[in-house]
Formats: sequence, C-alpha cells, structure tokens
Amino acid sequence: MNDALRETMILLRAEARQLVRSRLFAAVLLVYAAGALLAGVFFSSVVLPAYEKIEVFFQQSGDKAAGAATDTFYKLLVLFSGGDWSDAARLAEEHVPALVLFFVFGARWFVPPMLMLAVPGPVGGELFDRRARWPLVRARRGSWLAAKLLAQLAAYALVTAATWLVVYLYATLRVPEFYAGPAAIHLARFWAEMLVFGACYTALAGLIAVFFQPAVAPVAGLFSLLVLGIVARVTAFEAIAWLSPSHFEPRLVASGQTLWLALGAYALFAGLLSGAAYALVRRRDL
Amino acid sequence: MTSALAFRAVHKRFVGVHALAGLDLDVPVGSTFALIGPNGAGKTTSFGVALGLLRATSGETTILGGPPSRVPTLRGRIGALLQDAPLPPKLTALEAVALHAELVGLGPAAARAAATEALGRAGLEQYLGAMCGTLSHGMAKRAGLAVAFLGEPELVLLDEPTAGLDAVSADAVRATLRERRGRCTLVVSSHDLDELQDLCDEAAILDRGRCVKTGTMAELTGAGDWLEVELAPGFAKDAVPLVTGLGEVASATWDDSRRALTVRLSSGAHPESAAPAVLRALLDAGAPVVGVTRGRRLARAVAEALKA
Repeated sequence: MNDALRETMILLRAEARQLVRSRLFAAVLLVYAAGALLAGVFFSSVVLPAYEKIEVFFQQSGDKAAGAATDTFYKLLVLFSGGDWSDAARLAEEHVPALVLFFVFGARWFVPPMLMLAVPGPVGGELFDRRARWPLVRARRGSWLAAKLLAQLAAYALVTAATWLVVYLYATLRVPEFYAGPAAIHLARFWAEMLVFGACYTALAGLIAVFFQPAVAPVAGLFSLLVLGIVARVTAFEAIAWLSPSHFEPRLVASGQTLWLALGAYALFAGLLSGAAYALVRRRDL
Repeated sequence: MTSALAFRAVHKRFVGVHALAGLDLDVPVGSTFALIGPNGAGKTTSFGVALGLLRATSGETTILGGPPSRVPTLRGRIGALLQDAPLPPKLTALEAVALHAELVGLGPAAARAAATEALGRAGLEQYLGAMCGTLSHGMAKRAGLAVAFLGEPELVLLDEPTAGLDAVSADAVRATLRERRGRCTLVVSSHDLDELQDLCDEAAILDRGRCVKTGTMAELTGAGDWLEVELAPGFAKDAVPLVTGLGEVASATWDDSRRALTVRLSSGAHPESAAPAVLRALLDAGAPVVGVTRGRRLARAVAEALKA
C-alpha cells in the first residue's frame, strides 16, 4: 500500500472513532434516520394502504378513473423524486415500489442539508482550532482531507443503508402486494447512486468547511444549496444551469445514458469540489 | 548535513504583522538548541514554518536537508510539541498517541504497545483510557511530549514545553528532555531562561522576527569571562569592594534582588584560577557563599542582547 493511502486509512480509522463519539454528528444523523424511519413507516402503513383502498374502490365500482388514479399517484411520486412522465411509466413497468421512490425523493431533499450541517464541525473545527497541526506533522494534507471526507461519506452511507433496510423489512412484512424483489434491487441501485450524489455534497460541504469558520459554515452551506437550486432552475441561460449539481437530480431516476450522464456529472462535481478543498487546505496556514 | 534546521532570510507576514523579518539561523545536528525571545519574537512562527504548517512569505528553510513541505513524508524522523494545538478531544490518550505511532510506521498492535510505553514514560499510565479533552493542561502536555518523541526522531521541536505547568509536572518534563539530550537534535523555545541555560548547549536570541544573537550557551553567558556568586541573606557588608582589588577581577556588580555578585574577569584571567581567589576573598570576609556559577545568568545576556 502506498504511503499516502496508508496514512489516509490510519486517519480514517481515527476519524471514524471521533465521529462516533461526536454528539453533534450523532444528533444530525439521528434526526435524519428518525425522520426517514418515521416517514417510511407512515408511508408504508398509512399512505400505501389508503392508496390501495382507493384503487380497489375504483376497480370494484368499475370506474374508468381507477387506472388514472393509480397513474396519477405513481407519477406524482416520480415527479417529486425528480423524474419525468416517461421515467414514471418505465419505473411502473419495472415494478419499482412507490416506497423506493419515496426514499429517493427523501434522500434527494434531505441528504444535502444534512451533510451541510454535519461536515463543517469535524473538518473546519480541526483546522480552525489548530488541532490539525498534530497529524499534519506526520501526514500529508491530502490524506488528512481525504480521511475526513471519506469518514463523513461512510457515515452517511451506513446510516442511509441501515434506515432503508429497516423500512424495507417493515414494508415487506406489512404492505400487501409489496414487490419485495424489485424493491430490494432498486433500493440497492438507488443507494449506490445516492453515494455518488452524497459524495458531491460531502465535497461541497468540505470545501465550505475549509473556507468558513465552523460557526458560519453550516449557514454558508445551506445558502449555497439555495443558490445552486436557483441556478439549476435558470431556464433563460441553460448553460449556467449545468454548473449546478441540482440540475442533474431529475436524471437520477432515469435510465441508460441519461442516468450515466447524471452520475458522471456528480462524480465530476465531487472531484472538482474536493480538489478545490484540497487546494485551499494545501495553501492555508495552520 | 551540518544543520538539522536552517533559516535563510526567511520572512513571514500575517495580515498586519511581520512575524519573521529575515530570520537567519542554523541549528547544528545533535545540539540541544534554545530559541529565546520575548512574546512576538517569532519563535512559534519559526517552528510553524520549519514544520511546513505555515508558508514562509520568502526565504529558504531547510529541515533535515530538505524543504518543510517534505516534513509529512519524513514520518518518525521529526517530532514536535506544538503550542496552542489541542490533542483530539474525542480520542483517548492511548488512541491519540497510537495514531501517531501508526503514522510513524508501526502496525496497529505495535502502535498501541509503543503508545502505552510512551504514555507510561510520561507518567500517564493511569490515563490511557481518558479522553484527551478531559486531560488537565499538564497531562495533555505530557501526552504531547509522548507524541513528539515517538519513533526515536532525529529532530524534535518543542514549543514552550513547560509553559503553564505546575512545578512537579515541569520537573517531569525537564527530566524527559535531559534524558533525550544528546540522542537527537532538540530545539526548545521557552520563557524559562534558567531551564534553557541548564538544558541547552546552544541558543539563539530572537527579537521582532530576527536573530539578534546566537552562539554556544558558554559564549552567550560569558562562561570564560564572568563568575556569579550567590550569597545567603544576612551579610551586611558591601561585597563589591571585597573582590575588586583582586588582580583577576576587572569589575563587579551587586544585584540585591537575587543576592548575587556578578564578577567580570580581567582579560587573560581564567575562571578556574579566578574563582578560588574570589571565593577566598569573600569567605575570609565572612560572606555566606551559597553558590558559584561560571558565566552570568542567561537572563542577563538576553536582556543585553535585546537592548542592543
């Protein structure tokens, strides 16, 4: 193993220990996990059965609106998840359960703010109170930053996986006609996609954390999300919208080339943003 | 390589502060080197520049024969005790030191063993499982020293190792430094000049980012030209006239606050022969001599260098 990678792994282990013991980090992740679990259970136990009843009611009454109601419900979910009508049709054909889309929708909206709140403390805190001086006498700055960002991403990935798994198991047991097989496959697929998505926003939060004081960085991070959201929706100058990661969010529920374009864009943003964070860390005085 | 650490015309400017203003300094390999100066003289900044933690505005710095940017790749060859840099509060003392032992190149098990031993030597065997954030200032400093000396480094930079410590902790730190002296190049900055005089064999005096005087401790304290005699309280006579008539003595001054007689030797006089003559003259007059030091106190040499 080369020296830089070895240093990164050593620092990553130490960082993981510190993250587990950080109250702020635990609080942010717990809020996300609790919110996702409650929403997932609510969706599985209340929304889905209600939708089933409406559908059965329409079918029994022989009303032509039955198919339309199903389509509308499903398509609304897909739209909220960021896809378009054709994505909705495709996902329905593939038997992607509504619950899975609900989770993609939730992760898309809640993961970036969660990362903006969670990342600045561990990264910026250590830089601004000079704690980083200790490891950086014996480790490269790039290894230090990589370990910090990877630890955050790993924590996010684990919490997301655990949360999704619990709700999936709950839905498998409680929701009638839950397509457990396709749901498992699509949950795994969306989870992997959301890792690339999460890496982009972890890198953005990291860049903000090395630039702003820890007290200001979460606010700056949330503000940057707002700005990126606005930029993504600029229709007058579409080329500008491509500068925002938010622009690619709808493509995460697409397939084929469109999906790969979105994932490539997120990977590129992750690389550029973490590269910029590294450039700042490398040049800054400690 | 004759210098473990060298600065050539190094400048470091912060916003509104010129912390290093053309620092020229050489720390010989194997020396125990004191970095002396008032607050704001540039001691901590020069450590930061040497370790690559601060980027010099201009000039050239060489540490163990290479640029400071190479420091992280030198692993265990350089150790440092950093001022105002807390250890990670959410790691235990054992984990924090073991982390550095791993960075030095040891495997996880060997690193824990080395960290346990290092903390034991620092007198912290009872606190292996204590979070660094809960350690007292003195304990944290000793844990920091354990980190600094991991892996038998060739060069160790210690920024105010005894600052803010109680007498017992400070003595423990001094004992550690004495034990390490001669085994590696030690660079120590401190405001405790007696401590530095006792510990170091070479020194540089910094002021406003420049080196104003450098040399061996004997040269700086005038060990070949001066004697300092300490008297117990209760001696009513003026001690100065008792020695000024001696052929080996050029002049003498009395410091009432320290109850010390500082004697400047005539040119050509040797301290070995002058000291018995001075002592005889004082003892014959009934002076209660309690100590004799070759050379002046470092504090005096520093004060003169800073005034010049």
